[in-house]
Amino acid sequence: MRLKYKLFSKLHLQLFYEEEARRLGILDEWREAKKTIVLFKPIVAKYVGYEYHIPYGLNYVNFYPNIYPEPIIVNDSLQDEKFIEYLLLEIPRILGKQRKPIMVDIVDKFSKNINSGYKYSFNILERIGYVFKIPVIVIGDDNIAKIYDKWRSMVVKIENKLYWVL
Amino acid sequence: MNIIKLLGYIERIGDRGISPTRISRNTRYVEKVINILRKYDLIEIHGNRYRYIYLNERRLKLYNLLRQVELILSEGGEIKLEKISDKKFISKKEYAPEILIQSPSFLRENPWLTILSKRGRE
Repeated sequence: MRLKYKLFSKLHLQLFYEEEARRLGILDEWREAKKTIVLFKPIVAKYVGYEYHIPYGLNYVNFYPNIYPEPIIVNDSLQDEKFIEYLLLEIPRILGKQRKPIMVDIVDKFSKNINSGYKYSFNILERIGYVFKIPVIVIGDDNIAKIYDKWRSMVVKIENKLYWVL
Repeated sequence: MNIIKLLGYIERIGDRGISPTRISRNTRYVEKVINILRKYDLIEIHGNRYRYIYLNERRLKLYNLLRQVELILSEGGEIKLEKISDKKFISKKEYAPEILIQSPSFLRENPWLTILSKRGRE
C-alpha cells in the first residue's frame, strides 16, 4: 500500500483532526505540523457593487453573487464522496498556491447520509476559512441556512434587493 | 458626544480597522474619541507604540445597520428586513480556538470519515 497523496503541506496538515490524519495514514506528519502555527493576514472579499465586506470564515448567501477578489468556485457536479474529498484534500492544495475566497453552491450535494454530510462539509469549510483566513461563501436555500449556526454573515436576495441579515 | 459623530467614527473605522491618526492628527482629540468608543464597548485596540483600532462584534452590528441605512437612503424606498435567523454574530475569539483543537462530537460516528481511509491509500 502507498499513500495516494504522498505529500501534505504543513498548512494542509493543520486542517486535519487527529482522526482524519489517522485514517489518511499521516499521523506522524500531522503531529509534527501541529507544533507550528501559521498566521495569515485575513483576506477580505466584497460583493461587487456593494460596500459590504465579507469576513473570513463561513458566509451565507441565497443567490449567486459577484465577489471580488475572484473566488475559487467549487465544481457544481461534485457530489457525495467526491465533494468531501475535494473540500478536504484538493481545495487546501489550491489555496496553498494562492489564497482566494471560495464560493460553493451546497444544494443537493449529498444523495445519502445527507445531514451528516452537510455537517461535515460545513465543518471542513469552516476550518479552511480559519486556517487560510479566507472568506468562504456558501450558496444555499433557507434549509441550508438553518443547518449551520455560526455564519459570519448572511446576505439574502429577495425580489432583486439585497438584505443583510443580522 | 453627539450620536451622529459617534456613528461617523464607526463608519470611518469600517470593518477593517484604522490607525488612530486616521481619526485625527490631534492626539488629545483622538484619545477623547477612543475613550468614548471604549466606554460604549465598541472597539478593540491592538499594539502599544503603533496602535490600531479594530472593530468588535458589537460595533460590527452597528456598522452593518449603518450600511442598511445607507441602502434605504440610496434607494429612497421602504425596506423590510427579512429575518431568517436569530443567531448572533460570534466574536473572533469564540470562533477561532475550538474549530481546530477538538473534533466535534458528530464526527465520531460520521460515515463520511470512512472515505478518507479509502482515499488515503491505494
